[in-house]
Amino acid sequence: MAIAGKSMAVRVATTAAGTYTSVAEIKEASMSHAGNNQDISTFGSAWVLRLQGLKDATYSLSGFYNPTDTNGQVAIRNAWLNDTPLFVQFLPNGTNGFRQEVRVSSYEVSASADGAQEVSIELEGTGAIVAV
Amino acid sequence: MAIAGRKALVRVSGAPVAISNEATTTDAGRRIFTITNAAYRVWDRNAAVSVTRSPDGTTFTAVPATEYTVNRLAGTVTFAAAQAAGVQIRVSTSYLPLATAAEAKEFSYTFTGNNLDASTLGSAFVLRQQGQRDITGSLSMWTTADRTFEDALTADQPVVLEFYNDSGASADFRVWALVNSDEISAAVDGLAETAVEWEGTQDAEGRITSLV
Repeated sequence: MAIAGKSMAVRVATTAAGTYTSVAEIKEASMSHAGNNQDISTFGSAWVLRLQGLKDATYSLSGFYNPTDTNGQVAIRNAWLNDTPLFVQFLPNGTNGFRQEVRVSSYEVSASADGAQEVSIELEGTGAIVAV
Repeated sequence: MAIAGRKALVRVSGAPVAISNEATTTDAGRRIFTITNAAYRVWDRNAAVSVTRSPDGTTFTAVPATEYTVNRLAGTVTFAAAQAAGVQIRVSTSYLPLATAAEAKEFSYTFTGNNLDASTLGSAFVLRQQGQRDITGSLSMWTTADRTFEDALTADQPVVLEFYNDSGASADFRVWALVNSDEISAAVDGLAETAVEWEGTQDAEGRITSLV
Protein backbone atom coordinates (compact mmCIF):
# COMPACT_ATOMS: atom_id res chain seq x y z
CA MET A 1 0.00 0.00 0.00
CA ALA A 2 1.47 3.33 -0.97
CA ILE A 3 2.12 5.87 1.76
CA ALA A 4 0.81 9.36 1.26
CA GLY A 5 3.49 12.00 1.40
CA LYS A 6 1.49 13.90 3.98
CA SER A 7 2.12 11.08 6.47
CA MET A 8 5.83 11.81 6.56
CA ALA A 9 7.34 13.00 9.83
CA VAL A 10 10.86 14.25 10.38
CA ARG A 11 11.76 14.64 14.02
CA VAL A 12 14.90 15.79 15.76
CA ALA A 13 16.35 15.55 19.25
CA THR A 14 19.59 16.54 20.93
CA THR A 15 20.17 13.12 22.49
CA ALA A 16 19.60 9.69 21.00
CA ALA A 17 17.14 8.70 23.69
CA GLY A 18 15.67 12.15 24.13
CA THR A 19 12.34 13.56 23.12
CA TYR A 20 12.02 13.82 19.35
CA THR A 21 10.08 16.81 18.05
CA SER A 22 8.67 17.16 14.56
CA VAL A 23 10.38 19.81 12.49
CA ALA A 24 7.64 22.30 11.77
CA GLU A 25 6.46 23.46 8.35
CA ILE A 26 8.48 20.99 6.30
CA LYS A 27 6.81 20.08 3.02
CA GLU A 28 9.45 18.02 1.28
CA ALA A 29 11.87 15.53 2.78
CA SER A 30 14.19 12.88 1.49
CA MET A 31 16.64 10.41 2.93
CA SER A 32 19.28 8.75 0.81
CA HIS A 33 21.07 5.59 1.88
CA ALA A 34 24.39 5.08 0.17
CA GLY A 35 26.60 2.03 0.04
CA ASN A 36 29.65 3.70 -1.46
CA ASN A 37 30.24 0.61 -3.57
CA GLN A 38 33.80 0.05 -4.74
CA ASP A 39 34.61 -1.32 -8.17
CA ILE A 40 36.77 -4.39 -7.64
CA SER A 41 36.72 -5.62 -11.21
CA THR A 42 39.94 -7.13 -12.40
CA PHE A 43 41.40 -8.36 -15.63
CA GLY A 44 39.21 -11.17 -16.77
CA SER A 45 36.04 -9.77 -15.22
CA ALA A 46 33.24 -9.89 -17.75
CA TRP A 47 30.93 -8.09 -15.34
CA VAL A 48 31.59 -5.29 -12.93
CA LEU A 49 32.32 -6.62 -9.49
CA ARG A 50 31.56 -4.50 -6.50
CA LEU A 51 32.26 -4.42 -2.79
CA GLN A 52 30.25 -2.33 -0.41
CA GLY A 53 32.28 0.40 1.28
CA LEU A 54 31.12 2.60 4.12
CA LYS A 55 27.37 2.89 4.46
CA ASP A 56 26.12 6.44 4.64
CA ALA A 57 22.95 8.49 4.70
CA THR A 58 22.05 12.06 3.87
CA TYR A 59 18.83 13.93 4.51
CA SER A 60 17.25 16.86 2.74
CA LEU A 61 14.40 18.90 4.20
CA SER A 62 12.64 21.90 2.77
CA GLY A 63 9.63 23.94 3.71
CA PHE A 64 8.60 27.23 5.18
CA TYR A 65 10.95 29.05 7.52
CA ASN A 66 9.75 29.15 11.13
CA PRO A 67 12.12 30.85 13.57
CA THR A 68 9.80 30.03 16.48
CA ASP A 69 10.11 26.26 15.99
CA THR A 70 12.42 26.01 18.99
CA ASN A 71 12.85 22.24 19.10
CA GLY A 72 12.79 21.77 15.33
CA GLN A 73 14.23 24.30 12.90
CA VAL A 74 15.93 26.30 15.65
CA ALA A 75 17.41 23.16 17.22
CA ILE A 76 18.93 22.24 13.87
CA ARG A 77 20.40 25.70 13.44
CA ASN A 78 21.81 25.62 16.97
CA ALA A 79 23.39 22.22 16.38
CA TRP A 80 25.20 23.76 13.42
CA LEU A 81 26.20 26.91 15.30
CA ASN A 82 27.38 25.18 18.47
CA ASP A 83 28.65 21.92 16.94
CA THR A 84 26.44 19.98 19.31
CA PRO A 85 24.83 16.55 18.76
CA LEU A 86 21.67 16.23 16.72
CA PHE A 87 19.62 13.13 16.05
CA VAL A 88 17.00 12.73 13.36
CA GLN A 89 14.08 10.36 12.94
CA PHE A 90 12.88 9.93 9.38
CA LEU A 91 9.44 8.34 9.49
CA PRO A 92 7.65 7.91 6.13
CA ASN A 93 4.40 6.76 7.69
CA GLY A 94 4.79 9.00 10.72
CA THR A 95 5.62 6.07 13.00
CA ASN A 96 8.23 3.77 11.53
CA GLY A 97 11.42 4.54 9.72
CA PHE A 98 15.02 5.33 10.64
CA ARG A 99 17.03 7.16 13.27
CA GLN A 100 20.58 8.44 13.04
CA GLU A 101 22.93 10.98 14.52
CA VAL A 102 23.62 13.73 11.98
CA ARG A 103 25.73 16.78 11.30
CA VAL A 104 24.24 19.83 9.64
CA SER A 105 25.94 20.52 6.35
CA SER A 106 23.69 23.31 5.08
CA TYR A 107 20.90 25.50 6.44
CA GLU A 108 19.56 27.97 3.91
CA VAL A 109 16.87 30.60 4.40
CA SER A 110 15.46 32.60 1.52
CA ALA A 111 12.83 35.29 1.15
CA SER A 112 11.44 37.33 -1.66
CA ALA A 113 8.89 40.09 -1.57
CA ASP A 114 6.44 38.13 -3.68
CA GLY A 115 6.67 34.76 -1.95
CA ALA A 116 6.84 32.94 1.37
CA GLN A 117 10.03 32.60 3.38
CA GLU A 118 11.57 29.19 2.87
CA VAL A 119 14.14 26.99 4.53
CA SER A 120 16.26 24.24 3.02
CA ILE A 121 18.29 21.94 5.24
CA GLU A 122 20.89 19.30 4.42
CA LEU A 123 21.99 16.77 7.04
CA GLU A 124 24.75 14.18 6.86
CA GLY A 125 24.68 11.05 8.97
CA THR A 126 27.43 10.02 11.34
CA GLY A 127 27.42 6.46 12.60
CA ALA A 128 24.88 3.72 12.40
CA ILE A 129 21.36 3.99 11.07
CA VAL A 130 18.83 2.45 13.43
CA ALA A 131 15.42 1.20 12.36
CA VAL A 132 12.58 2.58 14.44
CA MET B 1 2.33 29.09 9.56
CA ALA B 2 4.37 30.28 6.65
CA ILE B 3 5.69 33.82 6.78
CA ALA B 4 5.23 36.12 3.80
CA GLY B 5 8.48 37.20 2.25
CA ARG B 6 7.30 40.80 2.19
CA LYS B 7 7.48 40.88 5.99
CA ALA B 8 11.22 40.30 6.00
CA LEU B 9 13.73 43.05 6.55
CA VAL B 10 17.46 43.43 6.02
CA ARG B 11 19.42 46.19 7.67
CA VAL B 12 22.99 47.17 6.86
CA SER B 13 25.57 49.05 8.87
CA GLY B 14 26.87 52.54 8.19
CA ALA B 15 29.92 54.51 9.26
CA PRO B 16 31.11 54.16 12.88
CA VAL B 17 30.13 56.69 15.51
CA ALA B 18 32.05 57.07 18.76
CA ILE B 19 30.23 56.54 22.05
CA SER B 20 31.57 57.14 25.52
CA ASN B 21 30.62 55.78 28.93
CA GLU B 22 27.39 54.20 27.75
CA ALA B 23 25.33 52.48 30.41
CA THR B 24 24.67 48.74 30.29
CA THR B 25 21.98 46.44 31.64
CA THR B 26 22.88 43.19 33.33
CA ASP B 27 21.32 39.77 33.01
CA ALA B 28 19.98 37.94 36.05
CA GLY B 29 23.32 36.24 36.64
CA ARG B 30 25.21 39.58 36.60
CA ARG B 31 27.72 38.22 34.09
CA ILE B 32 26.39 39.51 30.75
CA PHE B 33 26.02 43.27 30.44
CA THR B 34 24.23 44.59 27.34
CA ILE B 35 24.55 48.19 26.28
CA THR B 36 21.24 49.75 27.25
CA ASN B 37 20.63 51.87 24.17
CA ALA B 38 19.43 49.40 21.53
CA ALA B 39 20.72 51.60 18.73
CA TYR B 40 24.30 51.11 19.97
CA ARG B 41 24.43 47.32 20.00
CA VAL B 42 26.64 46.76 16.97
CA TRP B 43 30.24 47.79 17.57
CA ASP B 44 32.88 48.64 15.01
CA ARG B 45 35.19 45.68 14.46
CA ASN B 46 38.23 47.99 14.33
CA ALA B 47 37.44 50.07 17.39
CA ALA B 48 38.91 49.53 20.84
CA VAL B 49 36.39 48.65 23.53
CA SER B 50 36.94 50.20 26.94
CA VAL B 51 34.99 48.90 29.93
CA THR B 52 34.70 50.69 33.26
CA ARG B 53 33.10 49.49 36.48
CA SER B 54 31.67 51.08 39.58
CA PRO B 55 30.42 49.35 42.71
CA ASP B 56 27.91 52.09 43.37
CA GLY B 57 27.58 54.18 40.21
CA THR B 58 29.75 56.95 41.59
CA THR B 59 33.36 56.24 40.74
CA PHE B 60 34.21 54.21 37.63
CA THR B 61 37.56 52.49 37.09
CA ALA B 62 38.89 50.60 34.07
CA VAL B 63 38.31 46.84 34.01
CA PRO B 64 41.23 44.67 32.81
CA ALA B 65 40.40 43.02 29.48
CA THR B 66 41.33 39.67 30.98
CA GLU B 67 38.14 39.74 33.04
CA TYR B 68 35.69 39.80 30.15
CA THR B 69 34.95 39.10 26.50
CA VAL B 70 32.93 41.27 24.16
CA ASN B 71 30.35 40.44 21.50
CA ARG B 72 30.47 43.26 18.97
CA LEU B 73 27.42 41.96 17.13
CA ALA B 74 25.22 42.00 20.22
CA GLY B 75 26.72 44.87 22.20
CA THR B 76 27.53 42.76 25.22
CA VAL B 77 30.32 42.39 27.73
CA THR B 78 30.50 38.96 29.34
CA PHE B 79 32.46 38.59 32.55
CA ALA B 80 34.13 35.35 33.55
CA ALA B 81 32.83 35.83 37.08
CA ALA B 82 29.52 37.19 38.27
CA GLN B 83 29.69 40.82 39.38
CA ALA B 84 28.56 41.94 42.80
CA ALA B 85 25.01 43.18 43.18
CA GLY B 86 24.71 46.85 42.35
CA VAL B 87 27.81 46.96 40.15
CA GLN B 88 27.44 49.23 37.14
CA ILE B 89 29.32 48.75 33.89
CA ARG B 90 29.92 51.34 31.20
CA VAL B 91 31.32 50.95 27.71
CA SER B 92 33.22 53.27 25.40
CA THR B 93 33.77 52.29 21.77
CA SER B 94 32.30 53.06 18.34
CA TYR B 95 28.98 51.69 17.20
CA LEU B 96 27.69 51.06 13.70
CA PRO B 97 24.25 52.50 12.98
CA LEU B 98 21.96 50.12 11.10
CA ALA B 99 19.62 51.23 8.34
CA THR B 100 17.22 49.38 6.07
CA ALA B 101 18.93 48.06 2.95
CA ALA B 102 17.48 50.33 0.32
CA GLU B 103 14.95 48.79 -2.06
CA ALA B 104 15.82 45.22 -1.07
CA LYS B 105 13.43 42.67 -2.53
CA GLU B 106 14.99 39.26 -2.09
CA PHE B 107 17.62 37.57 0.02
CA SER B 108 18.99 34.21 0.96
CA TYR B 109 21.64 33.05 3.37
CA THR B 110 23.17 29.67 4.00
CA PHE B 111 24.84 28.31 7.11
CA THR B 112 27.25 25.57 6.14
CA GLY B 113 29.23 23.04 8.11
CA ASN B 114 32.16 21.37 6.41
CA ASN B 115 31.60 17.94 7.88
CA LEU B 116 34.78 15.91 7.86
CA ASP B 117 34.94 12.16 7.35
CA ALA B 118 36.21 10.65 10.60
CA SER B 119 35.61 7.02 9.68
CA THR B 120 38.23 4.55 10.84
CA LEU B 121 39.12 0.97 10.15
CA GLY B 122 36.26 -1.10 11.47
CA SER B 123 33.63 1.54 10.73
CA ALA B 124 30.54 0.19 9.01
CA PHE B 125 28.98 3.63 8.60
CA VAL B 126 30.55 6.96 7.76
CA LEU B 127 31.50 8.93 10.88
CA ARG B 128 31.63 12.70 10.70
CA GLN B 129 32.92 15.63 12.70
CA GLN B 130 32.12 19.22 12.03
CA GLY B 131 34.99 21.18 10.49
CA GLN B 132 34.77 24.83 9.59
CA ARG B 133 31.47 26.65 9.71
CA ASP B 134 30.66 29.32 7.17
CA ILE B 135 27.89 31.71 6.19
CA THR B 136 27.24 33.01 2.71
CA GLY B 137 24.34 34.84 1.19
CA SER B 138 22.91 37.11 -1.43
CA LEU B 139 20.77 40.20 -1.52
CA SER B 140 18.83 41.60 -4.46
CA MET B 141 17.66 45.17 -4.66
CA TRP B 142 16.24 47.62 -7.09
CA THR B 143 19.17 49.86 -7.95
CA THR B 144 19.30 53.19 -6.14
CA ALA B 145 21.88 55.90 -5.58
CA ASP B 146 22.93 54.14 -2.37
CA ARG B 147 26.54 52.93 -2.63
CA THR B 148 26.89 51.11 0.67
CA PHE B 149 27.87 47.76 -0.80
CA GLU B 150 30.05 49.14 -3.59
CA ASP B 151 31.90 51.26 -1.03
CA ALA B 152 32.36 48.28 1.29
CA LEU B 153 33.78 46.18 -1.54
CA THR B 154 36.11 48.96 -2.66
CA ALA B 155 37.34 49.59 0.88
CA ASP B 156 37.73 45.86 1.59
CA GLN B 157 35.71 46.33 4.75
CA PRO B 158 32.83 44.11 5.86
CA VAL B 159 29.42 45.43 6.69
CA VAL B 160 27.07 44.11 9.32
CA LEU B 161 23.87 42.64 7.97
CA GLU B 162 20.90 42.17 10.26
CA PHE B 163 18.14 39.83 9.13
CA TYR B 164 14.52 39.83 10.25
CA ASN B 165 11.97 37.27 9.15
CA ASP B 166 9.35 39.69 10.46
CA SER B 167 10.19 43.38 10.56
CA GLY B 168 7.71 43.78 13.42
CA ALA B 169 9.56 41.32 15.63
CA SER B 170 13.12 40.82 16.83
CA ALA B 171 16.00 40.28 14.43
CA ASP B 172 17.06 36.72 13.64
CA PHE B 173 20.79 37.27 13.56
CA ARG B 174 23.61 39.60 12.59
CA VAL B 175 26.64 38.73 10.54
CA TRP B 176 29.91 40.32 9.44
CA ALA B 177 29.49 40.22 5.67
CA LEU B 178 32.38 40.72 3.27
CA VAL B 179 31.03 41.69 -0.14
CA ASN B 180 32.55 39.59 -2.89
CA SER B 181 30.40 40.74 -5.78
CA ASP B 182 28.10 43.62 -6.56
CA GLU B 183 26.38 43.45 -9.92
CA ILE B 184 24.20 46.16 -11.42
CA SER B 185 22.14 45.17 -14.40
CA ALA B 186 19.53 46.84 -16.55
CA ALA B 187 17.44 45.94 -19.56
CA VAL B 188 15.45 48.23 -21.78
CA ASP B 189 12.16 46.72 -20.64
CA GLY B 190 12.85 46.45 -16.91
CA LEU B 191 14.11 48.15 -13.79
CA ALA B 192 17.77 48.38 -12.96
CA GLU B 193 18.71 45.79 -10.38
CA THR B 194 21.60 45.24 -7.99
CA ALA B 195 22.67 41.78 -6.86
CA VAL B 196 25.11 41.47 -3.98
CA GLU B 197 26.90 38.28 -2.97
CA TRP B 198 28.54 38.18 0.44
CA GLU B 199 30.54 35.86 2.66
CA GLY B 200 30.94 35.83 6.42
CA THR B 201 34.13 37.08 8.02
CA GLN B 202 35.47 37.31 11.55
CA ASP B 203 35.86 40.22 13.93
CA ALA B 204 38.69 40.70 16.42
CA GLU B 205 37.14 38.14 18.75
CA GLY B 206 36.77 35.51 16.01
CA ARG B 207 33.01 35.88 15.78
CA ILE B 208 31.21 35.78 12.43
CA THR B 209 27.62 35.83 13.54
CA SER B 210 25.47 36.37 16.58
CA LEU B 211 21.92 35.27 17.07
CA VAL B 212 19.88 38.19 18.31
